[in-house]
Amino acid sequence: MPLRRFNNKEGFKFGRFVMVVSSISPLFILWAVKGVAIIPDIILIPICAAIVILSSGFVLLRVLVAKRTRDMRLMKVGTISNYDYHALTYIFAMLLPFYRQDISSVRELAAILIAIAFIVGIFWYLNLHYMNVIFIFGRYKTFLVHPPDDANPLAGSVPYILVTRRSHLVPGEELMGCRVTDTVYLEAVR
Amino acid sequence: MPRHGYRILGGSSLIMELAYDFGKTRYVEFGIGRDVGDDQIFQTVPVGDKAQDVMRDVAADTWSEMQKSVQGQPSQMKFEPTVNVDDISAFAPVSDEETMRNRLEGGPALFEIAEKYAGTEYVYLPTDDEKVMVIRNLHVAHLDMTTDIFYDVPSIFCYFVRMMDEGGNRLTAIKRATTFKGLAHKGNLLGLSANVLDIMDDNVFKLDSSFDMLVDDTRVHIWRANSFEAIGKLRDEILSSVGENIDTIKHDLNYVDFGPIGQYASQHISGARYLASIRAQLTPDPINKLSLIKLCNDTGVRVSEKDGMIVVDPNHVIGFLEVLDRRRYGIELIDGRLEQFRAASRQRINRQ
Repeated sequence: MPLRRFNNKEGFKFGRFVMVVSSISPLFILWAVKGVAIIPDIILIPICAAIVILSSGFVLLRVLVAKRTRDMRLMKVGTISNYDYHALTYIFAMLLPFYRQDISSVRELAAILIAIAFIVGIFWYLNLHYMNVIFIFGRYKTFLVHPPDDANPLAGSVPYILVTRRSHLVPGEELMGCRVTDTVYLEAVR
Repeated sequence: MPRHGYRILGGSSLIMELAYDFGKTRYVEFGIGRDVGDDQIFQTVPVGDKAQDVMRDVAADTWSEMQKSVQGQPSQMKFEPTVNVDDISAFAPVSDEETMRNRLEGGPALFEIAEKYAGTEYVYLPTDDEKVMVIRNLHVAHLDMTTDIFYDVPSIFCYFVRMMDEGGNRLTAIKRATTFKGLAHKGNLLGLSANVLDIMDDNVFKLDSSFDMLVDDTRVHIWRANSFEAIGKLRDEILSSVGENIDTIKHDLNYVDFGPIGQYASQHISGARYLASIRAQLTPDPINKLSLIKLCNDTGVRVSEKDGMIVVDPNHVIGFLEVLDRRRYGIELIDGRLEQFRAASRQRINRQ
């Protein structure tokens, strides 16, 4: 395997950030419903609604644009890991701790917002932007796919996330993915 | 067994088919090849739908040009998805004479390593030929993707387009990157912005008007042989195979001292090419020693005999290789005058 001395930095920085924000939108929905003692509803609800609608709308728009501009990639399937269990991680890391917190002071609000910012930053850094309720409610499954380790010396080795409605993938098969980000693909079904 | 050409049942001559239908393109992918140290790295790069359409059209135009160059008439792209041109049961044999006439009239020749080709000349190789190993790997590999095309632009040595049609047939079009990266950082392109013509700040790449080769699932259709050799890294392959080629040729020509020849060819690409070509032409029938000596004498190649072995003058090694490669000959059309010729390119007329 040749030494790959080239820059493979991922693009879509802003897009990935918005997708991570979109992935925590259930928290804003819960806050809007539950309310926050120190923020009047007339301020809280529009802010939460804007975050939810804009961030989720961005994800949907990205998928739409990718399909319209034929931003597709033909990929091969090697080894597969089912990442659906990440949804559990997401729920326990994101929703429950913050939802249950009663925010009764400005300092508590600031602390929670900073904690959320940390989590968003970490999710963004770790490319966990595929964790999204849009995909969950859309009955999509999430797989981590490694390219096949065949004898082709030119074959790539970077894994990718495939979001698909299929319940399983077949090693060795070829599939077409709509590029959501550089590492996340929505399977394009004809 | 005599070699035959083939004709599709129904009467039309087999020129060379491309196993791909441009009109039913389903998927287009763009990519670049980089030189990284001693390795070549190929990556795909996302492109928009307009760029995809243009790239597909450039590939189609390239095929059209290649067809015109061998047919001498407007291209008629033919597509036979169910016909495997290597499956001889689908074809009716025709005579060798008709094969050669067909080829001279409109068929591409098989690429030969020692031949000199024009800047653009349509030749081909089957995809199972060892000379196209890099290209065949590129045609089928799952490649990594990058969006950072402007990283280390000088390292980009080629770009390619990979396509798939509705029938699942694939086509890869490859071009050596010369003008492609030439404009990347030029800063002297004008563009219209807010109703004012101004210098474009964006980095720009320029697509060429044709590709250097097209690869389908059975053949590599070469349009520019120089680019094919550069991209396929044939030069290194040819030089590294000198020893192996000499070992093979020695079996048939065990009366030739290959010492000085091997030394010369390992340092000169022309000699290495001739050795590769000579090896490819070896037949079960050995070359007659006396005929070889006579032809060398007739064409001015200085050789001597020592202990039953032909020893080539060190200054005449390339001439000797030309003789073995059937490129050097003498003709006596005028009484008493033997004219000597060297052929940069030659085609065999009679096949036996």
